[in-house]
Amino acid sequence: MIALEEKFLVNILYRPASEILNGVDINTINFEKLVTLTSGHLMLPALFFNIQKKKISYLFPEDFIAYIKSIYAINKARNEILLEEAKELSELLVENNIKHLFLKGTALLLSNVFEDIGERMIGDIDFIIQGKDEEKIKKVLEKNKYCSKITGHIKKPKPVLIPKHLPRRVNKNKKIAIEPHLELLCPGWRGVFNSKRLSSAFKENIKAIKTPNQSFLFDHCIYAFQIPDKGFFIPYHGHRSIYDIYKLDCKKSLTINNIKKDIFKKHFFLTIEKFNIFDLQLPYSFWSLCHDKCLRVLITLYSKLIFKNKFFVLILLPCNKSLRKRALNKIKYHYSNKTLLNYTYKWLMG
Amino acid sequence: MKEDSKDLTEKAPYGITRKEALQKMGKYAAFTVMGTFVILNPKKAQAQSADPVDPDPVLDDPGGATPPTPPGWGG
Repeated sequence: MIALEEKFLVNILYRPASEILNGVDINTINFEKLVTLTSGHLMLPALFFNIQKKKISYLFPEDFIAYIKSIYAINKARNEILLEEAKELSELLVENNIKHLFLKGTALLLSNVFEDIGERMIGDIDFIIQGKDEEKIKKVLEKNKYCSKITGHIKKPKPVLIPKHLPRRVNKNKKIAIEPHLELLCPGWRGVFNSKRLSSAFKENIKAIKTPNQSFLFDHCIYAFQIPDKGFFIPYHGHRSIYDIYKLDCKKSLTINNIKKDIFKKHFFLTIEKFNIFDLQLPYSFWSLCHDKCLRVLITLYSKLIFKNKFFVLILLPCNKSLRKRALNKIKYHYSNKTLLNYTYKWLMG
Repeated sequence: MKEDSKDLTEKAPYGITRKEALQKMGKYAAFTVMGTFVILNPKKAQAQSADPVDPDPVLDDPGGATPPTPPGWGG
């Protein structure tokens, strides 16, 4: 069952002006609920842009339009700054001979995927570098006053596998934080999707701003929502990701053959099938449904038991004295409080 | 009820009541999910620091019952 407000939002974002009131009675729309729903998906600027584009502002109260217009204007101004800062950062990295590619929202904005730069809400500038440049980029960023905020934290054991990204950095003279990635997903998921897909792009000489191709952006958008944002494990959908895919309009990737062979992509499109946004008729039989359900349960178990760093903590225990000491303290505490079994279960199940 | 009216009239140190603030921003601001303001406010967006590696379950999870992290507000 889709809420009326969500049906209305979907119509505004993805359908032509003539179909906006299909299945919706405008008098029953609760505009406060619409704001809560849309802002939860970080889609208020996109909502305003589509209302303007489809010339349907007469359907809304004036104060509603004024409010979302102000949100859109602030976001647009912020994105203009973000693009400027991304260009400056790119120049800095080129100067220092560090090959890089922008990712996620910044890449979508730089690739002109959106009709208007105010549509997409972006938190930070994500970019990926090659593993060999890790130390080099740390020095370059330190030298240029991009500071990490987690220096004051308790020193953690150096991760066994390459982390997804280096700590987020902020330059106090700039507005947007940056996040240098070394990989695309956390360890454990790299068999599904990894930076090897970008090796040909890294081979090219990078002299200007560079972004991955559209089919890569399509895949990254889905995997980033399904794995780090937990779309595969928790039953929910994100209109920001759906809108990105819609705007990418990547016909090469949006084929039934491409989607049905990948459980993550299939799950993404099956979850949003009820909205009828993409013209995809995914074939499913009883057996394929059973197969997908079993596979999903196995993948969920894998994610819960093994890759919450627990597997690595257990490996590190015999060789890391401070970690062993902390673990023993924890065990002693829970043993004395008679909650050891409960704690162990909770720790394993995460 | 009494507390509500106190909340609405109590002056903040910078001289604006909550009622005045809501009037200025419009009633819809009260229905907007925090994430939107976090992204639009540069200082708060910068502070939304993501840890590059998963938290250390031995150190950082004292109760052992970490709630699921909300979906990413990043790029």
